[in-house]
Amino acid sequence: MTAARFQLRSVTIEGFKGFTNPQTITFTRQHAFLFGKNFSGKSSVVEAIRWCLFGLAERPEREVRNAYYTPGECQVTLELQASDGMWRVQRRLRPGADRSRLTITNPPGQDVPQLQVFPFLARMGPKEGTHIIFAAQQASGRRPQADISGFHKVLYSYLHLEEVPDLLERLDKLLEEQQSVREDAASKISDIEESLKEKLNGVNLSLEELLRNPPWGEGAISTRSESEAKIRSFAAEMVRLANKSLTPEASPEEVLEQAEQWSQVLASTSQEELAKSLNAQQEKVNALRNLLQTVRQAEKSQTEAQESIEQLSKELGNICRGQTLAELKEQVKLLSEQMMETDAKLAIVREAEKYCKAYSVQECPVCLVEYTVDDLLAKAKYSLEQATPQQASLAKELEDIKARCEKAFTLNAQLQESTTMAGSAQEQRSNVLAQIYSLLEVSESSKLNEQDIESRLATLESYVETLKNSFSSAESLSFQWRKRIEGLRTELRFHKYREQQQNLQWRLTLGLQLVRQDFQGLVDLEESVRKIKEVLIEVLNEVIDRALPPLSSMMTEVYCRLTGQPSFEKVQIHRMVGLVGQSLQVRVGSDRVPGQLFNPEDVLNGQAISALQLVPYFVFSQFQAETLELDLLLIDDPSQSFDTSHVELLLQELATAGSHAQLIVATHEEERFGPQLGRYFPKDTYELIRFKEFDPDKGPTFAIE
Amino acid sequence: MRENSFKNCDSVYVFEQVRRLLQSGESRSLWRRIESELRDGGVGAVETYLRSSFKELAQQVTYSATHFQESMKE
Repeated sequence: MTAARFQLRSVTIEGFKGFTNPQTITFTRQHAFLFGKNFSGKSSVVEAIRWCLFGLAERPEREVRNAYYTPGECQVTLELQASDGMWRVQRRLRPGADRSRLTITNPPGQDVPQLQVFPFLARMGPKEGTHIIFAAQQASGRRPQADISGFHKVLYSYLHLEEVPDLLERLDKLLEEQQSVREDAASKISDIEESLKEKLNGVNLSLEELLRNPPWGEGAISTRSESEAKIRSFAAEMVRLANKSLTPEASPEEVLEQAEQWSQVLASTSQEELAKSLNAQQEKVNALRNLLQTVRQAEKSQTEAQESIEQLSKELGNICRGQTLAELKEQVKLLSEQMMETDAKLAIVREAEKYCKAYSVQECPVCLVEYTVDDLLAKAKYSLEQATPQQASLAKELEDIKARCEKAFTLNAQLQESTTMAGSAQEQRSNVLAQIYSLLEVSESSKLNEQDIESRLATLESYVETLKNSFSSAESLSFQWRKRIEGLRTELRFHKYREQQQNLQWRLTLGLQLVRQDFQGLVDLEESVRKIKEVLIEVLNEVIDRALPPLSSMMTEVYCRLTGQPSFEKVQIHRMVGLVGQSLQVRVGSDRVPGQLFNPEDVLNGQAISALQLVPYFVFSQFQAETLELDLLLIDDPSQSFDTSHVELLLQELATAGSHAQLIVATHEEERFGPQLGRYFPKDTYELIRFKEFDPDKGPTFAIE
Repeated sequence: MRENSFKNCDSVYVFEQVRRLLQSGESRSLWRRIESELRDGGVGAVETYLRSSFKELAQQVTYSATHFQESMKE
């Protein structure tokens, strides 16, 4: 009898593979042999039991659902007999679901976790379920479930080592994933460091540049509080000058800003006013200078005109000789008339003479006094002789008086002109003086003379010079303020750079420490995991190297008993070092070719490979049955490649295994199995279940004997 | 006994040996925690625990690095 905790008592299948409506197969004896032709549904029973226990880990579970049984359930229920009663194991694939769900219920009806009930089976999974062996090739061409490509996992399972390579594989995967996480984190920290270093470099350069021409010159470097005191002192000056007040809570930067604005306003106002005053005074000086020159010009013109008047008056007096111009003009008139009269008399005498000579007159034609011609001519001659000098004198006198008169009139005209000029000059001088008084803002009664004006001009010029000096001083003061502000601002900038420098240095060292510590924690964990992995590999290899020689020996023994294989009679397990830990691989060899080992798939036939797949179970089940919670050996078509003699060898091994395990064997070779069963199994230890036919709509039908 | 051939060839022995070899340091305390997870939930629980620990530490690094970067902007 099996020493396992559980014994399979029934399986109820619904909507699974070829099954539609729920059908229950009850196992009343220890072993069951399912006989039926191909495609009758017997393999579905074996698969249903396996699926219920393990599910499908590597294939979509949807493929186990009966496509024609919708919307019915897809579920398999096992009843397991235990000492405390009947346990129920049910796996259900809900309609539309991708993954099935396992429920294990204890006799009182409580759900119990799989790991708690089947700790060993839960670890094995469907692929490496060596206790549930599917030796047959599936009709669809899928690989056998217990193919020897996963042989190392089968052996690890039997050695109870399967947790170790599983753990190693997971650690390796974790470490591989962690590498990129660590690199990303390191890169991020490195980026931060680079960024900090770049900023620090920039600040250092700024400081270096600033310290080439420090605002404190050769003196000691000001502390921040000293610089702030300077700023507040300067601001206090500006407060007094500008009559303003400071905000008490203002920062040094704000205080300096405010002080700068006030100083600019003060400087601007002062300079504007000075410039305005300077321009006004300069214009006044220029105007006064021009006016003074005009006054001098007018005075000169006036003097010249007076001198001309005096000269002309003197000349006119000399010409007029005490006469007025009218008297002179009258005298010219009288003399002209006299001249005309004497000219007329002379003309008459000359005409009388011509007449006397022409006509020998005896008497005077005028007075009719009798005269001889001679007398008349003599008289005429006498008259002419007497009258001519007189007339000449008169003509001369007339000529002379005319010249004097003409000269007197000319001089008089000039005199008038000079008089006019003198008046104009006088008027101009008066006007200009009035302008000067106005310009100097004095009353005309002040009677300023030229010296006074010049004195005033000198005073004004001196004032202009003073204004010019003041303007320069204002500019200089403004410049000094600007320089102080610039110096104070540079000091603030210096302190800011120093603080930034200290801050960045702190961040680079202590500031980043927390991040580095966190990162180191990540690295430490990774290192610890790596160390554990290395030690695990070391110990596992030691264990495997110790286990492999006896394991190979035992496997060879069972393999030879099962197959009677004459060509490759030795089985050997090799530990291969791969990328992920190591793997165990089965190899076969022969004493006839010492030192050479072969891949079984390359050199063995189907029968031998099928037998080889059963070997681990037969090796380990001999002495590990007590550890199994469910010692169930499911075999589907184990003998399809076996000849009759080897079927007997197989049955012999199965009988040995059946001494402790519950066998569920499905085969279509009833004629080869059936007659032999009685030889190896007591009749009351097994039952035969025959599958009759398969209807796609109704599922398989079977009968239990 | 043939069974004696595989004595000390199981995972229990391997884990004991690992414990013995990891005599000090962080890897020893981590291994103790792994053993505890193995007892409670098997290899899957170990993976879950380690994955969670790595994630937590990685998040902590990311958080502290991000926090640090943000503090640099102030």
